Amino acid sequence: MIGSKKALLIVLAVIMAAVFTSTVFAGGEQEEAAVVAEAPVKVMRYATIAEPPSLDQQVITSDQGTTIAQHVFEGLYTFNSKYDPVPMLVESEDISADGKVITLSLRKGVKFHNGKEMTSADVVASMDRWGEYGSRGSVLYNHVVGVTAESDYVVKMVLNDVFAPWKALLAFINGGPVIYPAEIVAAATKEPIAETDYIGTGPYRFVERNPGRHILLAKFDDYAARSEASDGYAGKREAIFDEIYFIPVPDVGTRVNGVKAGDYDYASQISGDLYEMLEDDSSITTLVNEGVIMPMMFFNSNDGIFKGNYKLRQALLACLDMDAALATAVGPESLWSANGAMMPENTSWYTKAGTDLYNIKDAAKAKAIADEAGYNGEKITFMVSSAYKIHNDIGIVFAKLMKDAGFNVDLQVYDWATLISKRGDASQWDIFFTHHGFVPDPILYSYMSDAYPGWWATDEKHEMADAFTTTIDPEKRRKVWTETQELIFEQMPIVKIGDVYNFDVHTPNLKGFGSTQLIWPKFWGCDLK
Amino acid sequence: MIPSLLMVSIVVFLFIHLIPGDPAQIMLGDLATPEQVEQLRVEMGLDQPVAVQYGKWLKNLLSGDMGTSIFFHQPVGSVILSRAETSILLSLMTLFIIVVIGIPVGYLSSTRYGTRTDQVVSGLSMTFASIPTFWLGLNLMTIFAVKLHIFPTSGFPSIVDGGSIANLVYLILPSITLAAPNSALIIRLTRASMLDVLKEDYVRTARAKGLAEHLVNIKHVFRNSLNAVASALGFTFAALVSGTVVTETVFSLPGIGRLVVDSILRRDYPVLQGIILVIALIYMLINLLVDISYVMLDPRIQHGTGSTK
Amino acid sequence: MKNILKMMNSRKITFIGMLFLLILIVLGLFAPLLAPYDPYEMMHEERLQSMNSLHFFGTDNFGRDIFSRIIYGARTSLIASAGVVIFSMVAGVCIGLFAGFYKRLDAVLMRIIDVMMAFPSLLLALVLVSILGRGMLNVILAVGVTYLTRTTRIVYGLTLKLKEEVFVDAFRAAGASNMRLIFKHILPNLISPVIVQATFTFAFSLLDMASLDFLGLGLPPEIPSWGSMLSEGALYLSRAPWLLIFPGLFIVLTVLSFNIVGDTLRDQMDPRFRHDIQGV
Repeated sequence: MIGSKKALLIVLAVIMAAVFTSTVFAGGEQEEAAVVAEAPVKVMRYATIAEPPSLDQQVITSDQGTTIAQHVFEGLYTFNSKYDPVPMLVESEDISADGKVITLSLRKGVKFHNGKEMTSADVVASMDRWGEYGSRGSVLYNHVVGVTAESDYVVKMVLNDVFAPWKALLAFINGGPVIYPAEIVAAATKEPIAETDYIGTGPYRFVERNPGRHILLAKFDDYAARSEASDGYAGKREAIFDEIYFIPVPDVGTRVNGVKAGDYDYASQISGDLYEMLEDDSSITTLVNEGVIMPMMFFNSNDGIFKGNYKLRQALLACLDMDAALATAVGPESLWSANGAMMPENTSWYTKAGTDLYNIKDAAKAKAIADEAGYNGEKITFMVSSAYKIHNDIGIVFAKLMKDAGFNVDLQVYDWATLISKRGDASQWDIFFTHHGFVPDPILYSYMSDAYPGWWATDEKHEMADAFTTTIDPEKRRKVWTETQELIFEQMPIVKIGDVYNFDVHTPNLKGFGSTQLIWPKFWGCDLK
Repeated sequence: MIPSLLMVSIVVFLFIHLIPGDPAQIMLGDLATPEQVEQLRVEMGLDQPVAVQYGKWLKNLLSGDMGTSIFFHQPVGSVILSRAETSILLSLMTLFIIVVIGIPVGYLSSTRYGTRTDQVVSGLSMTFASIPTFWLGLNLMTIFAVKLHIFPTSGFPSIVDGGSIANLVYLILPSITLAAPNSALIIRLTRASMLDVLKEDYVRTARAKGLAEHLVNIKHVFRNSLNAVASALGFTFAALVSGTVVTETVFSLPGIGRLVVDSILRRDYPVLQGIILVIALIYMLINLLVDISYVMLDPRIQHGTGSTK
Repeated sequence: MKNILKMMNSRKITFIGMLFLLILIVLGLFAPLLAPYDPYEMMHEERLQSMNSLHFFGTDNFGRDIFSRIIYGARTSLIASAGVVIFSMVAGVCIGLFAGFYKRLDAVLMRIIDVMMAFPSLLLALVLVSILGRGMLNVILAVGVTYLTRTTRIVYGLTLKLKEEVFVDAFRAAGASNMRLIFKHILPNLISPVIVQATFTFAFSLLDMASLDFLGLGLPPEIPSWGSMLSEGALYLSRAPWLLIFPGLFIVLTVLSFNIVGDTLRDQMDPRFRHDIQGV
């Protein structure tokens, strides 16, 4: 009896072991077999941090979505490596002397993934849907009288006034006007376009989305590439990989391990604290992403203690230690810079104007200004989301610094959905924390819109913004921006914490990138060698 | 069972409308204006009273339609099904390890009560119980996938969807990770229940009758001690099927657990309603099986008949 | 008293376990006196230091002293986990006993338990926070419900079995009331699996609560607790493993001590057990 029980156990154990080893070996054979049989198919596997809600760039601003979608969809303009807008689907442009009539000639022979050729009708329909429902569409369409088709390959856009950033807006693919076939986009509204209708003009076409597993793109054989040499997103786009898998791998340790083990070729958004270690690791290549991330604190201008009280906002800024906050949240100094200016240092917009109180780390001065502002220990509700480590960590550091400087701060940590729902109600909060990505033109910052929570909408701001958008001369625009930045530090709708850079990792065999990665990594022109 | 499921669906509906957050806003992202969000809410029917939304949902459900995921824009049924494969296979493999390790080791530990073996087993099992899963998982991955290249690091290509049965290899490290703390529970429960039964009168009677020690253990004690173990195996298996979010995250598995948590964070109401209903159904079925196993283990238990004697 | 002393003599390991728990209680009670640093103080220049003479357990990414946070964390962690254990055990045992004993309650109670089991604790926590606001009570309830249902299942199954035992019939024949049967005769016989479940509840709940803390559904994020220290340290697994090791070690040792002490106490409380089994 005992013997048989034990024997049964042993048998079970052996079976178990056999199953495991056989699956291991079978797995190995399977992979080899697959490699032999499908050798001509070149595959790239990209481990992303999360899944995008949709690839419809016109209405969705998810960065994960843009990284994938830019392989499938194209806009009229795009950015070169200096982030200047240059033609993509447009062949040439003609701007009237008063700057209000813009005539765009489209490239001929550009095919959609459904085989149809792109014409002006598609462009007009796509622009109009974006202008009405798009995330950033209204910024341009507030200045647009109409977009019309002049002929099959010519589109005319008439503005009601000079609007300097029009080209940057057309080039900005994130939440931007990508071109769909007219029959798809004409029926579309605010609801994202269905994935069966992901038809674009890009070098890759959409194959499938398997929720939780991957989004698969395949090379588009009839792609019409530009002839210029590749430069940033601009120029020739050549699809070398036959298939690209975008695989959600939420854990950062797993993304790194997966690249090391050869299960993925590329992985994005690696924690800063791993940077130095991975730089020394020869089995992996690190690549800093040049897309700046700007953590920001927004003050409530509509309600509560900060309404109209600019002095108190300045008092709060005086006590903050940006170096400490960024080191805690990000890690090595090569991945951040304590830059209080609204635009990063490597842009032409950079100026130190107004930044006197930034990063002075002076609790005594903060107290003095707060007294001046009439602060008496009223509670300050500070909302932070746990969805991002930098928000959470900087929030904790700031709450401590503010408390030490005598502010009665109540740090509220929420999941992202709760935070964006609460921040819509002015009575619920005094400060909230978020971050902002790269913008090609400062007018695109969220706080430049009156409707964005925080609701900065003073007359002085409107005056500046009008002057800024109706000026074309770059030198004059820079001057206006410098004054705008001074105004931001005076009225302080926001506090910018600094510039933060992500980094990515990939296998050393993956070639085709520059010394830094573009904001949204692109894989045309890349190859595994 | 039907009233229970109805209750579940109503409670879920109320719950998700009680918590702050709005799927339209999450989908449109940071820059959307309140007007744009409102527009989408109307398009999605989220502006209607909760009772009306529930009525519509229930009506569709009865005709076999669980709705469409707000986030994935795919039918809820197919979203859940694509995740169910991972969770079911992973749970079965984990349960197998738990049973094969937990019960024999627990048995051994009880028959060697108080000895060095027993103490070592106790110490080890409690240590495994308190080791965090993410730590164990990442370490197993570093050793067996990154350094030794025996297993893949992460992911799980579907088997049902045209994949090979060999894809099970992707689930070995995750199932070991999950089995560690759960086998510990089964070891300790088996041991405790065995010891409890060992002290009961009939064991003494059997022993007095001259039965060999081991025979007593196996025939009477073991069988009698399985009741609590069956309960624990039941809820452990149900918990595994309904999701193991940490392990799924570490090994990047498309399982139910991550879908539940992500759907909560994304406020993907239709998926959440569907999935909790399915999970409730799973719990009920498994608990029913456990109830039946009580009767099989001890025929004196008459389940579901009569009132208290 | 004599018994306890005797037990300590006979089992050194029990003594060590009790000593450790005692130390924890002292640490928790006198944390402000014993911790070398303020657990909230951020020494920004000293972030991510490994173990050294100034910071015995090193510092975290905020530059906070881990040793001091462990000491303060003892308080939060023990109270919160004990709360979950007590809540889930008391409620679970009562529901399980009644449902198992009274056939009529069975159908209703166990179906409610089925329903409760299906709810993810994250969803419960979100709802509780939006109703009650943030605090320890929410955490204990949200996490406790999961374990309540599990304890209920175990107790229910055992009660079904025990109420058919000969001795229960004998007591019933002798005129014992139902309440007396349930609490005096059935309960003591199912206590050992419940103790096992309690120990595991303690261990598992520490980490469950940490994940709620992190989403802002538990205690404020800066408050030290072992579970949250561990889950926040997860990102530093390879860069600064001491962020994980020390809270992890304290959790393991606490769970082990509870387990040892629980085992011994049970053995000592049951005279039949001591005389009979030790001879086996």
